[in-house]
Amino acid sequence: MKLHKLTAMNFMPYKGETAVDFPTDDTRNVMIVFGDNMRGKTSLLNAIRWAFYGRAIGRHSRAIQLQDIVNREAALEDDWKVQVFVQFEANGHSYDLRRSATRRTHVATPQRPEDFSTTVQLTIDGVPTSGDQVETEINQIAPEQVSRFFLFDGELLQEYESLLVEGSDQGRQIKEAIEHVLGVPSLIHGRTELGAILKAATKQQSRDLSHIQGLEKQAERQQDLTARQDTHERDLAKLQDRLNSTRAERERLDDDLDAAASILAAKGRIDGLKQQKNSLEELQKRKTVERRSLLAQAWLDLLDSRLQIKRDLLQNRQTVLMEGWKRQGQLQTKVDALKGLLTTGSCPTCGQDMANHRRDEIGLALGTLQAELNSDGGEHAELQAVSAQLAALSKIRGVNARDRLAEIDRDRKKAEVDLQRSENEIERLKEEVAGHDTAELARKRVLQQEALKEEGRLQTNILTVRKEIEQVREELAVAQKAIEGLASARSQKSTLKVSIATDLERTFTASIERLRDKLRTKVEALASDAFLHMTTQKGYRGLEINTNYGLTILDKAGRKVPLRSAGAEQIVALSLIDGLNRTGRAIGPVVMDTPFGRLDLKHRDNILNYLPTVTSQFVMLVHSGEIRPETDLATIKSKIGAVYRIVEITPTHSKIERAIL
Amino acid sequence: MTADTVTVGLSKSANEKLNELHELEIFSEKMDGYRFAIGLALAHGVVPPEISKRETFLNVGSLDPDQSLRRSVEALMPEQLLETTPYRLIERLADWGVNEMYLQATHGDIDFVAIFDRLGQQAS
Repeated sequence: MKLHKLTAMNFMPYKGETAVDFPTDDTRNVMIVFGDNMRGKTSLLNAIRWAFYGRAIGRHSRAIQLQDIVNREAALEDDWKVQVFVQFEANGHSYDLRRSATRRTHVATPQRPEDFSTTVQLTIDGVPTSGDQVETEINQIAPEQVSRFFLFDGELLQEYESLLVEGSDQGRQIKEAIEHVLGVPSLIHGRTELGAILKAATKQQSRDLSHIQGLEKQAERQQDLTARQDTHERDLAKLQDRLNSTRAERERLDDDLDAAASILAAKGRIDGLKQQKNSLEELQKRKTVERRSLLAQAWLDLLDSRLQIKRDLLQNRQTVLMEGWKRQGQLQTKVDALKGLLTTGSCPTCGQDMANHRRDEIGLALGTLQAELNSDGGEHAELQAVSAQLAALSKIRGVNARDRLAEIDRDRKKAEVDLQRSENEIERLKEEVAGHDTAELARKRVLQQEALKEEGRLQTNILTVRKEIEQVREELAVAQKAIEGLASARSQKSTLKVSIATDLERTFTASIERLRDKLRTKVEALASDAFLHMTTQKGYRGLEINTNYGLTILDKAGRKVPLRSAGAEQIVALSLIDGLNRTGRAIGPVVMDTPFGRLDLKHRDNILNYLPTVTSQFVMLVHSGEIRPETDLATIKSKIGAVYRIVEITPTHSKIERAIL
Repeated sequence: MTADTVTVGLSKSANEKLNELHELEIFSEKMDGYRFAIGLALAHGVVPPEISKRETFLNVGSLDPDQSLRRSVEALMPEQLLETTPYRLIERLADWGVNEMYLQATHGDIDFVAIFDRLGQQAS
């Protein structure tokens, strides 16, 4: 299959007519559409989906209502007609598919899909197909169930990553969707129907046995078990309903909150900034108190430097006085010695009497020394005074307030600047959230969290009930075996019916497993092949599929690689998509919206080189952050057959223009 | 020399200024500002004139419990004490210091770090 041309009118942001020609040359089968966020990349994907299947998909894979598909500006101008035409070829035939919707005549402003009349026309090689055959024809060429793999929204990659989380509900849903695509449900439905037949037969058998003497107990036991099975199944259905409605409500809240995410983020930021502001104000208060307490002591530093000069002078004077005082001591010692000599009149060494002239000399020296000793009057008193003053002044010491004050002032100034910034930011954010009911958003956030918890609880309960049903079934099977062993029971028609239904149910169960295994093996082989082409790590052998269609990377030795990066997760998910796509249909075009989110340049290169080889056309809808045209497309430049750019005219009006790289 | 005073204060205008500085919460207590003003005047080595219209508000015992201020004045300005008492001189110093601080406060917050730095430069 190859797409040739798409023409859209008033489809979402594309007001008026917009046309895109797809590249049909096998050697140049890559098409790139550049468009920034909110310009209309996903809408282009939806235009194809709507033309083929009559539905457009929004967030959480929910259908976009027809009234929301019509371009808003056109609707304001009272133009409610929306159309998408697709020309394509498949199996050697050319197709022209035209889907239109327009407001019904009696409706003023459409509020619901029923307010539109929709038509779809398909011509094959110029011959119109009858209306009821259109869907069948399309599903033969491009089955709707498989469309999620070839009309692919990169944002859904994460859903596939959840397949790896054992027991995750999202994983279970994806698994069911995959099996639905691959045809497993036909067998599952068969088994379910046989289960219903078996249950009816078992009930009939219980009634029949209750009339046979000696088998009343078995009948009673079986009735008990079937009653329990009914109760559990009713509980399961109720729980499933509750889970579905809770999930729908949570998804609605998710959407509301996502739409208001910027407001909530701003509100959260305001709260954070208010806390920061309070902390800064506290810090300022603390620093102010610290500063004041330091200033109460700072006067000591002011005195200290001048007092130090005074202390130095006093110290010097004290030293001089101390030396004088020491000298006085020495003089006194000498005086005492001379006095002793004169008193004894003999030599203290040899004991001989002293000569008179020698006594005269000693008397002269004594007189001189005594005169010198007597001349020092007030120095001792001064020494005491200086020492006392020095001791008193030494107690007056600074507290090094200057450095500590500088530090405090620095902290205060920084806090002041930060505080000002916080206040400005709070004001700016308040203007941003003005007019929005943040209380309502806060309420929704709480409800969303509660709904999430409730989902978790319901899932746990569902698992429990499923186990209980399984247990009852096993008990019923055991009871059945016992009954079949009794001749009087065996002769009953209902016993035979139960026996046949049981065997058939087992056969279907085994078939389901065999088909699953077969499909898984095929998907595993194709996904491994895709993975080895797209991964940049050469030390891998391939992928291993688990029962949930989750894929694990295997290294060269066949060991599981336990941890992988976000980029590797994306490559594994893309490999699974490719594997499923090629398992589910013949080779055809693949349109991918925002496929490169978390990938590095080398992985992008690998994808760009690989996917065009396994598709008839590879159409990428990318934003400027994903691909830099000048550099990232160098390796596939020769394969690019068409380049477009989505240009914004107004926020609700975009147009697509041809571009060159 | 006459007996020293037991209460000290400031001129009326300086007292008002110190009240203002206190209200601006620069100092926890008025007395802290008073002591800083004395230190500032002593550090600048000024000999302030007599003050008029004194308004007393501080007990000497509270202001100078260990007599550090009195001893500092005695050590640093002995010649001034020939004509007055230590606490009278302290009042004059405080008056000068308060006026100086107030002058700085009128140009914004008092930059105490800059005061210390200027005095440090003068001393070196």
